[in-house]
Amino acid sequence: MCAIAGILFKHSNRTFNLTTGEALTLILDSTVHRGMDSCGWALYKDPMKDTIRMRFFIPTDETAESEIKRIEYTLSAHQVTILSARKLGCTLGVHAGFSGDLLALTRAIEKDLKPVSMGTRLDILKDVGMPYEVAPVYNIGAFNGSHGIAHNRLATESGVRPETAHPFWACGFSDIATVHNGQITNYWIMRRRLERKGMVFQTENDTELVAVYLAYQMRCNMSLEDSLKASLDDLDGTFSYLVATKDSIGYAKDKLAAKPMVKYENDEMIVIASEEVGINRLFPGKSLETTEPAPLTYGLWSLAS
Amino acid sequence: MATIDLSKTPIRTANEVIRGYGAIHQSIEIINPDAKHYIAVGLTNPIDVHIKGSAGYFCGGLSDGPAIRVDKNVSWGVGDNMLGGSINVGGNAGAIAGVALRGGDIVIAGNMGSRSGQVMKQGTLFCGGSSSFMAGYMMYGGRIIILGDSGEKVGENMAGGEIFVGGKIQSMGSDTRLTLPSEEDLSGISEFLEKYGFSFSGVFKKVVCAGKDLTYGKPEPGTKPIPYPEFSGPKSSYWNQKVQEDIRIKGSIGRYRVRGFGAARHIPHFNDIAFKARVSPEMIDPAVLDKVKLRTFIGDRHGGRALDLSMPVMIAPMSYGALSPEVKQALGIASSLSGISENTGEGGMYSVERAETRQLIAQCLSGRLGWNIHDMKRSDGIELYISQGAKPGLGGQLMAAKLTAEIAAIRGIPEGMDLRSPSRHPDVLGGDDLIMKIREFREAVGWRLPVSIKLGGGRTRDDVKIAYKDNLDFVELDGLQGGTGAASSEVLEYVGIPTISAIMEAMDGLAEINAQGQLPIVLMGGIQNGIDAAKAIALGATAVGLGTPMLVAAGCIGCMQCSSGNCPLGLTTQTPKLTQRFDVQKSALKMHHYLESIRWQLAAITYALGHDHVQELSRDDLVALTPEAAALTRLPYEPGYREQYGSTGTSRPDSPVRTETGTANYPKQSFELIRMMSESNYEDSDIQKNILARALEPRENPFPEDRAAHLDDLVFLSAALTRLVIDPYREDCSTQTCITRSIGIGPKKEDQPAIDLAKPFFITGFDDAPLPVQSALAKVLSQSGCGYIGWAPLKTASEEVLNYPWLQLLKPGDDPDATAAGLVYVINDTFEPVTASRMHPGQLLGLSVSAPAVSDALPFALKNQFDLLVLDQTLGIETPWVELDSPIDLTVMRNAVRGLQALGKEEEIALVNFGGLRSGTDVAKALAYNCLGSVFSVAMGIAMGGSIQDKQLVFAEELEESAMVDAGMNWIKGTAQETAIIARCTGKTNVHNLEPEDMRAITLSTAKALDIPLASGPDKRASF
Repeated sequence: MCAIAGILFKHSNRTFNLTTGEALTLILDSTVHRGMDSCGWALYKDPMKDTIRMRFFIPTDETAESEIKRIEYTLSAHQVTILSARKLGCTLGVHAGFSGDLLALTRAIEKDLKPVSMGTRLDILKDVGMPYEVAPVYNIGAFNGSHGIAHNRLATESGVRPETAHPFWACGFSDIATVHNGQITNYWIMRRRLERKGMVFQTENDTELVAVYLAYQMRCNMSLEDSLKASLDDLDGTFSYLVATKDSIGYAKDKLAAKPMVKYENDEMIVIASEEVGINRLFPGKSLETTEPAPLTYGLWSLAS
Repeated sequence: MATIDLSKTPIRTANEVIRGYGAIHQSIEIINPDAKHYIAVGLTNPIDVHIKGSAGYFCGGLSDGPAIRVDKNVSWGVGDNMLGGSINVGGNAGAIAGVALRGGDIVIAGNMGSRSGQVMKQGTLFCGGSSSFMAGYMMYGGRIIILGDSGEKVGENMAGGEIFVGGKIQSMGSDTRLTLPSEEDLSGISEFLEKYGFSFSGVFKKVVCAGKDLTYGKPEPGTKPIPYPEFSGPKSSYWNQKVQEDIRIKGSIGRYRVRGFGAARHIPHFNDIAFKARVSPEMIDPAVLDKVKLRTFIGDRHGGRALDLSMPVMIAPMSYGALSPEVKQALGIASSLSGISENTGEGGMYSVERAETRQLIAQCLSGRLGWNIHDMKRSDGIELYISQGAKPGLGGQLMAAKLTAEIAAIRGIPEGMDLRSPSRHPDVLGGDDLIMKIREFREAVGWRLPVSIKLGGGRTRDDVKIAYKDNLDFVELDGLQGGTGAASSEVLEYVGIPTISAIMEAMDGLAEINAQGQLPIVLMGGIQNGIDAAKAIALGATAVGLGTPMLVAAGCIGCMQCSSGNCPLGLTTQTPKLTQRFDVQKSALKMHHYLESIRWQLAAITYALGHDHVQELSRDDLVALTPEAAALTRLPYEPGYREQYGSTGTSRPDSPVRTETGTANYPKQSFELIRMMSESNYEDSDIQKNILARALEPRENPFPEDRAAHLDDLVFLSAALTRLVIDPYREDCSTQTCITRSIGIGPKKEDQPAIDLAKPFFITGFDDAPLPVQSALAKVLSQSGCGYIGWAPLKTASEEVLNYPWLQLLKPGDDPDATAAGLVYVINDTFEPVTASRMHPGQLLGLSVSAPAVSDALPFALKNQFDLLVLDQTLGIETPWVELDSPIDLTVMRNAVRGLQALGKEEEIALVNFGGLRSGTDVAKALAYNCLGSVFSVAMGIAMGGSIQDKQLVFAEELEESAMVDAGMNWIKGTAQETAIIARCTGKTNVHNLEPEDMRAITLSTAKALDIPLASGPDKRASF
């Protein structure tokens, strides 16, 4: 029940006049009627040498400082060297040195802490509110990286909190994030299957299930593309979802194809939105050749290497 | 030429200005449209509108007459429901272009998105480029012309109309065929192309409806209602007449059954609730109507003109089509006389009814049958139907017998089809699209009217939150007991939650987002009198809706044949000979008297409870008389309150069973009371006091404490707003089944034994049946893709080789058979380790266990890599027809599932349940409870012609094998359809995706035996 958005610049020769963050926010704003409960962005920033980006939810009340201390303490206890930590909205962003197994680290800390995202490039920023309110708080407009995905949420079956906003990080898997429009109707069957395989859930949001599902498939050495394909069989209901990795954006659309998703591609970029109006706002006055993916299809667009 | 700048003018203002220019026939240009939504929606003047740029959703929607030109692109739903005029798009169109088009021309120069022309009925939709998937989806008429290529499934499920494709067709939709365009077709197309300045030199292919799915085929035989005590309540038996009749009819028609009216078995209801203070009819002031206020306004949450109800009562939506025109007229008159509102129901507005009705709500359904801007404008409220209590998940059904030429014309569909409306709207596929549809409606009528939605109870707790956030003015909420003209009989009984649960869930849902009291709920579904209405309002409803009882007041006798078109009273029929029996004036007066009697009761109760205004009634005024009602509503359980009404629950002598009605929710007592009300003088307070005294008597508790847990007491939560329903009439839902161990995510493991079945069904118990019966069953199993469980394979009369998987039943120590697909060792109550080995690697190993043996059998079976566990709910699967003489113990399913969960081994062994399964719905419940397959025995025997005699199933000698094969095949087909319909209603495209979370219990014993939460009352989402 939502709006999804995605932008990928194929190469670094940019002529487009907005930053990636501004463009994503503009798409969200033009489709904000589809969901006004919360919004969020998964941004792929430039990698830093030997540094991993981490973000955690923290309280916004007076307990924030003690929570930050707890996060720092817990991370240090797991051989994470904190290089910098900065409070932003309801989150704490951390740059850290870590050479161990990210999945093992996540498993070890996720019961105590609330990780939002981790990766060499990925930074997920999400909160309750509308895009034009939330974007300045998290300085989204300044982001001008190669790609990102974003989301407006109308809550359906789980509550309205920053944690249930999209995008969702595929917990434990560096740089993988998803946004989704629709509902997974075999949520509990799939969740119990994944939990039996040791996967952990933080919410009852079905988008998290998509993220965890993809993460599990990749843990079993399946490629992202094959995981997208398998999801068309394994997930029931109706959905259009986007998944982003450190160098690509993929999508999958169910057989009913009831949830809208349009895309526009030119030499420079690929833009995905729930409605044409989202794309039109980026190119005022132009008549665009937008297309929509067919039912039961998936795809992947990658950065030029 | 006037100019409107959309960068400066909000769309709401812009549309008002556009309509203003329309009224003076002034053409307009719109600059900076910036793909804004709802431009020129609801415009009914023949003016030119030039949009200089791109337009968003629903451009020119709900219009009649204008010539709209868009220079660039349009988004979803251009020309939605347009009646006449033209829309000319210079660029591309998004999805559902020309949805529900009813006339005029839509011209897209570029490409066109998916599902264009969905449910269109007239006019022309033209695409100069290529179209995406499913063009002409479910179209009923009109013409689509595509010069370029068409995507997948062109014309999917079309019922009428024509699609011409100039380029390649990627694939044809179901029930379509290709044909050659006629000369007339081609000259018509050339004329159109010339008119709009296009040229085409290729060859057109023409796609039309093949007509295979338009009608049901063999009609369902007429039946007399079986008195409800036979099949519901303490005196009913498990394999009662109704169960048997149902099985036999499916064996005859080969599909799921359809009937009218509402749920027929007992459901916890308002008559299990009482008022906390004594309401003594004799103490009521004769002038009580002057003492309390009943007037209720509803629908002005967003600035529309509220409905002004003289009491908090509405007439529920019932269509012209389901009802005769005369009945619609009478309802209109009665509603006006009583100062309440009436509702069009599906299928358009009947002009005579409009003329007679002071406040008429126009209902918009998925097929957009008869929906148009003019009727919207002359309505007093707009209601978008999402689902209804009687059949959440199903679209409306109108059998050909009732689809007259006039009704077909209003609806814009071909005559002679069995109309099965789509299950969901073309443009409301979730809460996000809903908000846009609601906005389009508001724009179309200038924000003048209340806009509501109709919701069937189910996932109500979440659905009302969406309704609140999507700015609806109110919600018409319908419980499981709601009535209908036609629906699948299984959905009528088992999909949805009781009306008292629906209101509880709505209140709890709104409270969760701190929106208590901010979204009025109009509750309906089994509300029969002012007492029910007062209790509904006390539980939080703002008003109530009355459907079925209005018809009862007009004479309905409850024969439940509403769908057949043969209503003996002339109510639910279109046959002139029958409709003549209905006297409009007399019946309108009866309905009016009935409504006035309700008014008197509402006033009397409000007064007796010490309130001045009916809306002051609250939960504090109520107590529950049964444990179920208490648990479902969280009201205090006070059975002692029965006594104050002179009733101990048994004071009324039982009427003879054979004279009872066919539904526990409308027993003879209900019919008598409603008739008394409809014939009473509402100004005579003595008569009204007598009626009130009688109506206050509670019913006997239908679920006494010794009632065993029963599959009948589980209901399903349907998809509505939070989830999308899968259309049962059209969309696939797989029943393919693989019985194997260790299932989970990832590809099927090739190296372990597995049985593939086309449907999740096994049959057992035919080992001693006569040879022709065994032979027939073997054919049925091999043709239908189901399996057999027995001591030996079925004997066959011919040499023909029949392939079906046979699972051999064995006692420990018996010789396994190498030809068996699997070996099932019968353990029953006491577990002893068995020595078992496969005769070949592909053979399955299984145990059949009763509840006491589960905890010991599980670890053994897992350790020894057994593949399946037959959960025996009877006294022993080894005895033929044991189901006829055995209690059904559901706890074996719970013990198995809980046991596996405790070991972290769910799905490590296949669960197959046996005992008491009668229908596809029972199988759906087992599937939801993690059973991969279900085993039938007696049900299959009855389907093939067996009859119950002395706890045995007996097959008459004259039964012919071929007839038994036909009946068996038909029954399996109909039963599998039932399972799949239930799965679709809950939003699944595969029956194996049913989950325990899709179910709720309506009795405490069943909730406890299966650990399934009650339909309402407990905390949110009790975990499974």
